[in-house]
Amino acid sequence: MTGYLVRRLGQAVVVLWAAWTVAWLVLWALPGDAVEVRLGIEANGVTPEQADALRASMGLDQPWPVQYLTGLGRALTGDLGTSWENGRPVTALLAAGLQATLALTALALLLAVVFGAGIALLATGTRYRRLNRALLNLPPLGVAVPGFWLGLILLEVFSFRLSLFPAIGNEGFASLVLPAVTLAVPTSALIAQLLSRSLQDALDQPWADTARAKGARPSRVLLGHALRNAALPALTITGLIVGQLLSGAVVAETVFSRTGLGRLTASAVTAQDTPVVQGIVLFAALVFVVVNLAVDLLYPLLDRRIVPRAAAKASRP
Amino acid sequence: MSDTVLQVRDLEVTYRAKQDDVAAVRGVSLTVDAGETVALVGESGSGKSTTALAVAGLLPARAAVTGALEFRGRDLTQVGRRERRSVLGVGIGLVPQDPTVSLNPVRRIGDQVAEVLLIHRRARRSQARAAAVEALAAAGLDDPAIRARQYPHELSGGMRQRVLIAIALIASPALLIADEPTSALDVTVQRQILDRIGDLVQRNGTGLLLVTHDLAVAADRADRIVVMSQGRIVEDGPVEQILRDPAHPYTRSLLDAAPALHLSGPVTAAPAPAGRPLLAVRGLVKAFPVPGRKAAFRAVDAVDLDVAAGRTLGLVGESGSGKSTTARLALRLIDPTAGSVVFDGVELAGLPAARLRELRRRFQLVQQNPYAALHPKLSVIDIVAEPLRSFGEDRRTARDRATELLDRVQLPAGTGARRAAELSGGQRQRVAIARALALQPDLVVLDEPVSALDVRVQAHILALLGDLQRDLAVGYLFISHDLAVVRQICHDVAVMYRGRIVETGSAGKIFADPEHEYTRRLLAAVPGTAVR
Amino acid sequence: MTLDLELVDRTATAGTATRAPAARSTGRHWGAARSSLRRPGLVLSVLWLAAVLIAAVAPGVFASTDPLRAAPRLKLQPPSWEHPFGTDQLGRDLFSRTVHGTGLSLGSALIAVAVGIVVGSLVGLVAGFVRGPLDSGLMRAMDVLLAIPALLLSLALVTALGFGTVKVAIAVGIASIAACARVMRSEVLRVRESPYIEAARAGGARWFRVLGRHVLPNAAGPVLVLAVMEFGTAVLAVSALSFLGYGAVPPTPEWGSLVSGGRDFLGSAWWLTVMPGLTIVLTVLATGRVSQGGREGRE
Repeated sequence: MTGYLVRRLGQAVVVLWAAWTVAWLVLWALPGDAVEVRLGIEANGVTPEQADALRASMGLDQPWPVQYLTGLGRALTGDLGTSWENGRPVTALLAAGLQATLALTALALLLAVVFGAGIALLATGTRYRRLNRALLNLPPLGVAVPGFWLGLILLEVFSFRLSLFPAIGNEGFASLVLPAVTLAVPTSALIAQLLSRSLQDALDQPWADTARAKGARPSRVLLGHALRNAALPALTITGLIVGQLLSGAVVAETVFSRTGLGRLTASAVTAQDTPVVQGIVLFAALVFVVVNLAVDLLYPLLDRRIVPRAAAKASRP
Repeated sequence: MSDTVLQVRDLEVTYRAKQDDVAAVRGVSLTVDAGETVALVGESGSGKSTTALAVAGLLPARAAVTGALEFRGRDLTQVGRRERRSVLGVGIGLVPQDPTVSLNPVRRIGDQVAEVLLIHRRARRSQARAAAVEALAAAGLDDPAIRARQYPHELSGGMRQRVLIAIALIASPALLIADEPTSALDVTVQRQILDRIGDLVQRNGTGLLLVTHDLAVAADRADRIVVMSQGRIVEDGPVEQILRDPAHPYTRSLLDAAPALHLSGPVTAAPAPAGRPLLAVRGLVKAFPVPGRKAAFRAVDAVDLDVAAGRTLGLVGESGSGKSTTARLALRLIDPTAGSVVFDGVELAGLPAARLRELRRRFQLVQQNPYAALHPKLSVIDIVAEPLRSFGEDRRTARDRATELLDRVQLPAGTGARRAAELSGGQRQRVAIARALALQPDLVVLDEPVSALDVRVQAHILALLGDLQRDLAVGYLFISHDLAVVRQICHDVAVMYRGRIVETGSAGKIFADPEHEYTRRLLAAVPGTAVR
Repeated sequence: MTLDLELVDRTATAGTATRAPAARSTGRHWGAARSSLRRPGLVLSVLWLAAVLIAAVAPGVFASTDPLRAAPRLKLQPPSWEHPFGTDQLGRDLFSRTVHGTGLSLGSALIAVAVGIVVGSLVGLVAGFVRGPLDSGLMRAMDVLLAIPALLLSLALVTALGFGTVKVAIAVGIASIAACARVMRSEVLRVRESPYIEAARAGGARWFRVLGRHVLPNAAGPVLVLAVMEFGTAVLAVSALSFLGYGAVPPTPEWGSLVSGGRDFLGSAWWLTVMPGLTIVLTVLATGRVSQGGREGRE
C-alpha cells in the first residue's frame, strides 16, 4: 500500500510540473513579446533603450532554457513571481483571494451534489414515467444555460426585484447564496446526468434482479444495491467537477462583483498579467491533482475489485 | 399424494414495443408438484425463460401478462405488489443463469445471503448471519464462514453459483426455479452443481422448475419434460416417454440433434493420414508475466499437436485450459514464448513478415462469437471477399468468388447484399466459414464455432463442416469444451488441462477407453447418462 | 438439406449471455426517419439549428434592419412587433443585432470544434492504434491538459495570444483537444479488441488496411456524436469569454458581448440580457438534443 501511495504521489508531482511547463510554454513561448504587451498597456513614447532595460530587468533577454529553469527554480521555492499590474507577489494575491473563492466553491459543490444526486435518485426511483421524463429533462437544460446569463437573471429577480440577497460584495452568508447557485447549476446537471445513467445501468444488471427475486422493495434495490455501485463512476469525476467549479468562479465572481480568485483571474487576463495567470493555472492543477489523489486512495476501499497496485497491465490471455 | 405447488394456466406474455408487439409466450399451461422436478426445454426464443421469469414476477414493466399463475392455490397475478413480494425469496426461490454477473460486486457474500431473511423479517441480524453461513455450507461451499466475509470476485464461477443456490434455498421455499443454472459453467462443475441442487430439492421436498436448452440435462434430472417452441408448449410428459417415444416432430428433431444423446453411436470415418502432418506443434509455450509474482503464468505449457491433412483434430478443454491461446499461437496471431509451429514443413517462427503473410493464405480462422466476428458495416459479400481484396484481387473477381462461397455454405441468394446485423447466429457463422474458405486454405482453425448456437442450428453447421471437409480436403483444428460435439466431428482428439495436453488419441479410443483421470472426469460429466 | 432460418438464437457463451438482435428489414433508413418524426423535441431542435445556421450565413433572411444603425429616439424600448427583442441604449434593434451576431458566435464555435476534433482525433487514433510507449506518452500529455480546467486553459491562451473572436475560438478549441482525444482513443481500443479485427489480420490484411477499412469506420461514430455535443459546449465557452470582454470588439455584435452589454441596464431593460442569452440556451439545448438523437440512433 505504501508503494502505491509513493507511486501516486510521484505521478502527482510529475503532473504538477507538466502543468506548470504547459502554462509556461503557453504564456511565455507564444508569439508576442512580453515587454510589448506590458508597454502596450501604458502610453507610447517609450524609447528602445528603456524597452531593453525593462526586458533585462524582467530577465527576458536570457535564452529560453535559462528563463524556464530560473522560473521553475523560483516556483519550487514558492516564489511565483510578481504581478505586472501592481507589483505584488503572486502568492500573496492567490492567498488573498483563496478564502472567499473557497467558501463559494464549497457551497456550490454542496448544492450541486445535493440537487444533482437528488434529481437522479428521484428520477430513477419513481414509478411514474411522466415524473421520470420531466426530471430527466432538467439536466440538459442546466448544461445549456450559460453561467453568466443565469447569474444576471438571478441578480435581476432575487436581488433587484425581490431584494432578498445583496447584489454585490462579499459580506456575509447572504452574499454567497446567489453566486453559489449560479455556479452549482451546470455542475449539478452534470452530476444528475452521470448518476442517473449509472443508476439506471445498475438497475438493469442481473444482480439487481437477484435482489428483486429475494422479494426486495424497489427502494431497497435502488438505495441498498444500485446506489453503491452507481456512486463509483460519479466519484471518478470529482476532480473534473472541482476544476469546473473553480473556473466557473471566474464568471460568477465577475457577475456578482465579489473579490476572490475568479475576479483576480479576470482582471489578470484583461491586463495580460502573465505571472498571475500562470500562478492561477498552477493552483487549479494543484487542486485537481490533490482531489484525484484523494479519490484514488478512497476508491479501493469502496470497490474491492480494484487493488491498489501498480498499473502493470494484467496480461491474462 | 403430493400437492401442487405451481399451476400455470393459459399464460400469455407480450412485450410491448414501439414498432410491433412481440408475443413471447402464447397460452402456456403446466404444473409442478411438491418434490417433483419439471424440465422446461426449448431453444432460444422459445419462451421458456420468459415463462419462468413470469412466475418469479421479474419481467420488465413493458411485458403484459395474462393468465393465471397459481402458487399454492393463490393466483399471483391477482394480488398486489406487496403481497407478491412477500412470496418471492421465501415461497419461490430463483437460481439465475450467469453467476459471474448475478451477485452484487460491492457487497459481501454473507450479507447477500442473509438479506433474504432480513427482507422478510424472518430473523434478526445476528441470527440471519449465522443462518447464511449454514446455507452456504449446505450449498457445498467449503470454509463457509470465511467465504461469507469475502466478495464475489474472489470466488470462482462454480462457487458463486453455490452462493446463489444458498440465497434461493435459505428460506426453504416450496418452489425453486432454476433458469439455465449451469450453461455459464464448465462441464465438470455443471455436474456438481446439478447434483447439489438435486440433493437439496429432494431433502426438502421442494418443487423444481428447471429451465434448460439441453435435453440431455433434462433427461438426467427431471421427472417430467415440457417442450416449448415459439411461445407454445409442444409436448409434455414423463421423461421416459419423451425420450423413447416422442410424439411431436419438433421434439424428435431436438432429440436427433443433441450430440450428448448419441455418444454411443459410431464415430466418423476418416481418411488415412498420409505423409507429414499439415500442422506440427512441438513444445509450445506461452507465458504471461504476473505482477507481483516471480513465476510467470503459463497459459500454454509444452504442448505437442499434429493435424493431418484432410482430418479433424479436436482440442478439448474447459475454460482456462489454454486451448484458445494455442489456436492463436498455431496461426501466429500471437508469438510463442518457446516451442515450434511447423506448417507443411515450414517453421513459422522467425519467418520474415512478408513470407508469413503469404503463408497465411493456407491457414484460416473461424471464431466463436458470430455476433462480433463480422464487420458491422460491410455487406456480407464484401465481408467474404475481404481476404481476397487484402491479397490484391480486384473487386469484381473477389465478389464473384464470394458469391460462389456463399452458395457453398448454403446461404440463400441475396444474403450477400445484407448486413451482418440482419442475420441470425447460424447464418453469421456460415458467413464466417465462407470468409475462412475464401483463400482456399489447407487448414482451418475453428475456435468453439458452434458454442453460441442453438442445438439444431449447431447440427446443421457441423454437417456443413463435414461436407466441406470431404469436398475440399481441408484439415480442421476444432476447439471445443463440448466433448459430445467433438465426438461427432473429430477424427483425433487431444485433451487439454491447465495448459498441458493430458491425453491424445483417435476419437474412438478416447471415448471408449480413456486413460487419463481428467479425461474420465470430463466424460463422466457429459449430461445424458440416463439415456446412454 | 433444410436451412435453419430461425431469427433469434441463443448466444450464451461461457460468461455473459447476450441477447441476439432481431433481424431487421432492409428499410432501415426510412424506418429511422419515420420514428424520428414521432419525437417533436428532435425535430424542433433540427429546425432551430437550421434556422441558426441560415442566420449565420445569410442574416438578411431574418433581419433586414441594420444592426449598427443607432436611433436615439427609440432607445430602450421593450420587445414589440417592430422590435421583437426590443432596442438597446443607442436605439439599435436587438433582434437584428442578435441575428447578425450569429455568424461570429457560430463561426467561432465551429473553429473551436474543428481544432479540438481534428487534433484530438488524430492524437486519440495514433495512441489507440499504435499502443505501447507512444500511447502512454500521449495520454500522459492529455492527462496534464485535463488537469487544467478548460476555461482557465482558454484564458491562459487568450492572455498569450491576445483578444479577438478568432483567437478566442482557437483557445477554446485547444482546451477541448484532450476530451476528444480520450473519446477517440477509447473507441479505437474498443474496436481493436473486436473479433472481426482479428479476423481481418488472419485474412492477411496489413496494418493500413486494418486501420482504414476496419478500425476507422467503426470508431468514427461516437466521435461524430461528440462533435455535435462539443459544438454546443464551444458556443457556451466562446460566449463566456466574449462576455468577459475578450472576444468581439464593440460595436460588432456577438451573443456573449450582447449579454455583457445589457448588464448595466439590468434593472430597467431586462430584454437586453435575457434575449441574447435565450438564443444561446436554445442553441445549446438543440445541439444536445441532436447529439442525443445521434447516440440513440446508433444503439
